[in-house]
Formats: sequence, structure tokens, C-alpha cells
Amino acid sequence: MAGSRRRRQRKRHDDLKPAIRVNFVERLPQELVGKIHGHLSFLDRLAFAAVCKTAGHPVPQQSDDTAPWLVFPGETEAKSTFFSLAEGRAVSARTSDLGTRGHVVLGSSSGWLATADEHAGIHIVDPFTGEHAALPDIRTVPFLRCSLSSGVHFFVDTEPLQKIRYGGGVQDDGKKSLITPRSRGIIGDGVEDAIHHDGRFYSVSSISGTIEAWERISNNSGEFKSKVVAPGRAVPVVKGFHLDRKYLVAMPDGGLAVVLKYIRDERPRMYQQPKSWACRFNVEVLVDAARGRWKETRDIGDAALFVGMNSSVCVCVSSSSTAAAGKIIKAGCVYFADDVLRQAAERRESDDKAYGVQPRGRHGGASPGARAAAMVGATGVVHAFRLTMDICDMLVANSGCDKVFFGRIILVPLDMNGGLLPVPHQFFSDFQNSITFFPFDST
Amino acid sequence: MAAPESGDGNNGAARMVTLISSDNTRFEVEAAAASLSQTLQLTILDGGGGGGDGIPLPNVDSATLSKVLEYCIKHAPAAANGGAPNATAVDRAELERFDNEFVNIDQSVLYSLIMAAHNLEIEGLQSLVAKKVADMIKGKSPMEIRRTLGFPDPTPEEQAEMNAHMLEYGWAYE
Repeated sequence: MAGSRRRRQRKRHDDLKPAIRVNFVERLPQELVGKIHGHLSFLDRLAFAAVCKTAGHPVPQQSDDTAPWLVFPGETEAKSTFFSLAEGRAVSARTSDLGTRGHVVLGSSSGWLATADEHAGIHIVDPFTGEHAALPDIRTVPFLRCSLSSGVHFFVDTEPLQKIRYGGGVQDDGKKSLITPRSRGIIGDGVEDAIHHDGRFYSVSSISGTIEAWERISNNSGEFKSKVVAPGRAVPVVKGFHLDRKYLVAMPDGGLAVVLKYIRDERPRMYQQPKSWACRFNVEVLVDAARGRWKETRDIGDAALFVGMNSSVCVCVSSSSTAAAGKIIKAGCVYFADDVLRQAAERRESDDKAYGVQPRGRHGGASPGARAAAMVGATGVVHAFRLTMDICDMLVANSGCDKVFFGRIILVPLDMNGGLLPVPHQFFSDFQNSITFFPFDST
Repeated sequence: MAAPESGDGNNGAARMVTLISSDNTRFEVEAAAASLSQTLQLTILDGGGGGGDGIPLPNVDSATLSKVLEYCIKHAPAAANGGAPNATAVDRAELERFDNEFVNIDQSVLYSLIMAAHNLEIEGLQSLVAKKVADMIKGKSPMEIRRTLGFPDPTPEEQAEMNAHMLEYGWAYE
């Protein structure tokens, strides 16, 4: 493989025939390097930075990358794969050099990736240069509280958060306060999931399934007001499963769809076998907003839907620019990142038992199947996934779910940009708005 | 390089200035064109470069300077209009065609041009050469970029450093 690559490069090299070879990168003025970066796409910047770095140039930060890209773990834990959706190309990076080994990607801001390790230490990484630095201890964030009761977990204290963000002037009457995407049940028919689409926030409500569009009120208070876009409809019953979550997605044609997640607890078949659960997804497409007509579909065409913790994303696999994406992302699938925290932790333990996950650094050629992906959008919205392919296959086989990839989130993403905060509620009713960090590597 | 004496520039007759390259070639050019250079602009505003004096440019040789002035003369009218809201689409297309043609040059010339654009602080030209270099880089692996930009092949230490920094560029999933 490496040989053929070298040959290919050699061949291209022969095609280039500059009359005089001048090594000018070493002496390029620094502003010019910045300007060159401005003309390059994400992956080209990675490559150029690798060259410039050896020439001693600092690499300027840029925050205008518009295309979302994916971070997958490589075949071993020692590598990550960066995949650009817009360019349909991938490069791989050594996680040890990026300081991301064993870390989970939380999100991005201004060209930096934010990652977290198993001790909830948050780091920032420049994927272009590999430079990384630790951020101050998470407990220094004034509105985060730490609990050591059952493993370390953190939760958001909303009152100081609101004071910090809104100067204390905001009443906690639900609508006016933070839009919390997982506030089902806390404030009645609250917002269950929200996305940013077409320049606006859209949300789906938890009980009625009403779709609302949110606009900022023009009085500088930072408040948003909602307008009903479409009424919801009764959720279809799926035998043997119960409805767990709703996710809002913008489809490739710009229309809205709601993804319904049903779950079922699986009874252990053997003594001491860890508890497991299965899930399936229904996709309901909004056909006519005014009349509130929805249509269930099992065929989402070339789209792949990423749902779970945080904002959902729909990727059109077959569009020309993302043709290569089809080799990594399967069309017609729902990619799911666990958003039920306790279950995520249980899964983690059960994986280790069931699959004998080897200690870090000793993975052979094929990893035991754990794949993590983080999607980082232009808005800095964060999605951290850890998709477990072989578990997925097993579950698909056992539960009869089709077109489902099973995943689990290891760490609840904390939006570094101060956008929507994920607010899981189900298992931590005592801490209404909790953010939990789980150790995600057993070693 | 001599521009016509007459002219209906901003302030009546076009003022001419003389620039002297590192190899002592004299170039006479309209002040408006030379003023695209931030470096020269101040001198020219102070009344320098007129008459027999000339402004010496010890960092720029005559071949490069004539190339730079070709750019400046072409772009001066548009710049004088302040980005030209009244420029027609035809004019813009013509400038674009000129720019593309202009940087279709040998790498050694390109390098001299980069340095001249930098030293003379000609913003449009800096952007143009940056775009040209970016186009040369697009879609290439780091090793190919090194070769394109005229790096010698890396020494083992450099190679190790490159790998350490990034990446074995897999170009996976091609």
C-alpha cells in the first residue's frame, strides 16, 4: 500500500516540472501564509500546515470553515480520521500527537477542537498543528457543580448560569429562560429537541410534537419568541417498544422530519449477562405544514441521519461532493448517539465484559469495534458519537430493527460556545440539569 | 513603461514618479499606479519620486519591477474608483482575465513577485499571489506540496517531525 502510494506521488512529482526549483515556503512572509490558508479548504489546510510547520511558520487560526466534518477514530486508537463532507476526502491523524488519545471530542470553536479525557479534563487541540493545551479545571466554571456520589459527575446550576448569561434579569418561566433541548416533562409541553436550520431555530415539543420556529425579539434582551409551524400528530404505537425520544431533523430537500426513537429493554438470556436494550427509529416527514400532515417513511433515500445528544444532522451521502462519504457513511441509516446517560454507562461496562476490550495501546489491527465520531458544524454545534459497529450488528440481528446503527455517547457534550446546553433529565431527576462525565476507558 | 503625459486622473494632469530598481533601471509611472503600494504611497504623498530624483527600490530587480508595474497600471483605474461601484461587469471580467494570465508564470518569477508584493505592500497583488499558491496546493498531500513548492525531500529528522506533527496522510477512502 505504502509503496503504491509512494509511486503515485513520484509520478505526480514527475508531472510537475518547474524550471527552477525555489524553496520559497521557508521564506514566505507570515501574512501571506495566512492569506494562502484563507483560500484553502479544511483538508488542504491540514496538508499545507504540515509543510509550513516544518518550515517554522506558525499557523494562523481561522474560523470560517463552513463545511461540517467528521472525526472518526481510525482502525486503532492511535489514529483518528478526519472526513470532510464537503470535499468527500479523508485524512488520518495520530491521536497521540493531537493529544486526543482516549479523549472524546466535545466540539469546536474558532478552529480549536475541544476534547475531554476520562477525568473530565477539558483540552483544546489545533488539528492543523497538533498543538494542545489543557483548559482550567471544569470545577472553576461558576455554574457547574461536581458530585462524587456515584462516580464523578457534573451538573449545571441554572440559576447562576442565567445570571451570568443574562445578568439575572430573566424570569424562570420556561419560555423566557434557556431553551433546553431535553426539558421534556419539566415545563409541561416543553422543547424536546431543537435544530438550527435555514437561519432559525426550530423545535419539536415533547408531548404534542408541535413544531415551532424561534425568532429573536428585537429588543436586545436576547429572548426568543416562538411561532407554531406545524401541529404534531399522535405518535404511532410500535408493538413491544415504547417511545423514548423525538428528534427534529432537516432533510436534504429542506423539509422537516421528526425521528421517533423507541426502546425496549432486553432480558438477559444468561446469568450475569449484562442488561441490554434495543431500539428502533421511525422517521416521520412533514408533508404539509399548514394542514399538519405527516407521513411515515422507511426510506430516507440517500440521506443518513445523525441523531442523539445535541443537534441532529442530516447528511446527503450521494450528492456529488460527498460521493466518497458513502464509503464511510451508509445512506438510508439512522446514526444514533446515546443520550440516556445511565444506559450509556451500563453499555460501556457491558462492552468491556462481553468483548474483552484490551487495555489502551495494545489494540491489534482491528479494534474491538468501538468507533467514535464527532460532528463539528460551522456554528460550533457539537455532536459526539461513539458508534459501536459490532454491537450494532448484534442488536440489529437480535431485535429485528433494520437500518439502525447503535451507538452510545460516552460523554455529554458541553457546548463550548455557550449555545444550547444538553439537559438530560431522565435518570437524574434530583439534579434537573445534569451533565455527566463517565470514564470511557477502563484502563 | 512610460505612460502618456496627458491624463484625467483625480487631480488634473497625471503626476509621474520615477522608480529605480536594484539594478539601476529607471521606471517612470503614474503616481496613481505606484500608489497602489502602501510603501510608496507615503513617499509619493510627501512629494517624493518626482523630477529627476526617483525612488530607489533596492529589494526589487528590474524584471520583477516591470511585472509589478504592469499589475499596478492595470489595476490603478479600478482602485481610483474606490473598488468601483460603477465598474461594469465587463471591466471586472477583464481584470479577472488579466489576473489569471498575470500569475500564469514560472515559479521563480512567482517567488520574486511574492516578495515584491510583500515589500511594496500591494494588497491586491498579495491576495492574487496567495490565491495562486493556494491553487498550486489544492488537493495535494504534504509530500506533494513540498515538491510543488520546491522543498528538497525531507531529511529523516524532518520526516519524523512531519509525521510527529501530523499525520501519516492516509488519503484513505480515495
